[in-house]
Amino acid sequence: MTARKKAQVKMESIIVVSRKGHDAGRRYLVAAEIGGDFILLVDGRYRTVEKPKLKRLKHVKYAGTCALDVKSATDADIRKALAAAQNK
Amino acid sequence: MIVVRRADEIEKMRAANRIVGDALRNIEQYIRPGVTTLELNSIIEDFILSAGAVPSFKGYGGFPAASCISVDEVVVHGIPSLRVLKEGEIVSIDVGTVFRGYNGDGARTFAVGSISPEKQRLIDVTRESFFEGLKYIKAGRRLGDYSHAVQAYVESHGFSVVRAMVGHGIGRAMHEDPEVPNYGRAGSGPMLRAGNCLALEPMVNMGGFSVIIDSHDGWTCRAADGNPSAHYENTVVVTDTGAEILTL
Repeated sequence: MTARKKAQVKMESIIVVSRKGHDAGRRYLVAAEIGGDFILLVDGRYRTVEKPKLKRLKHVKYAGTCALDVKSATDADIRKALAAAQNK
Repeated sequence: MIVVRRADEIEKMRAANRIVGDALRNIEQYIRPGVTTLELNSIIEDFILSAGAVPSFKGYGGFPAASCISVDEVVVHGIPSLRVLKEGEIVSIDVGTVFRGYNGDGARTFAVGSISPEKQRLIDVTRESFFEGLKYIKAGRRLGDYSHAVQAYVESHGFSVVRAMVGHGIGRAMHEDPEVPNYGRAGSGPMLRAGNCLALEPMVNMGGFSVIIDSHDGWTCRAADGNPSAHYENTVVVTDTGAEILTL
């Protein structure tokens, strides 16, 4: 198993866009992967850290990454990160 | 502190790493479109256990599987899942064992069915860069000689070496001193001594060298630009005349 260099490795979060459902077009960060088929999504507004959205992997589209460790982020951090990524 | 292993310890390293080499040779026949990375992991785990060893990755720092299985742009530490391999992808398999208290570690990148010439070139250059660097592994040489040779070879072919992830010393623990980067200045780094055991593992990206770690699992390391990456690893023991590869 490879070792991590004792220097900076960026922790980043994956951004996805919903392709199906009433939230089609909405952007989220991936908070967790479940069973290889489902993911938990947060956007810090409608889907918070306390109440993430469960969605099928095939119903979202990969939309890049942002420099945020979603595991330790607040809803405000998530909103800011998504907004910054959108404005890039 | 970089450990110098005694002859009896090196014999135990040979045994642990022979199992790694055998496991990697065995898994190749199962790699095809339609198989999941979880299935491949199960085959590897069963193989290691049937050889009387223990898969060293499982539970290491919370890693959930016996092997790291990394597809296309995933550089290392891919977690086996229900992900189905597709024709044209490349898959890197990293295996570790513990046998009688000593660790083995090795990795290969395989083609899934028929792949593009560029991906094949990536796999070949990654493997060749290991052997290019190996020419400089010898007691009395500096570790930077190896690192520089790998970097120069890879970059001469238009690819880039991953910098955030490194090879490592190995022995009673999976990760021991020293760090073994795949880039650097010749003549730098610690001096090698006969009996040092090292896991040498070039990781080569088709695009830029930057990588990111998926924060949702804390493990999956992928090329930041989404381009494919390949991995080739062997554990070696340094000798007075060169190096003995334990995982081939």
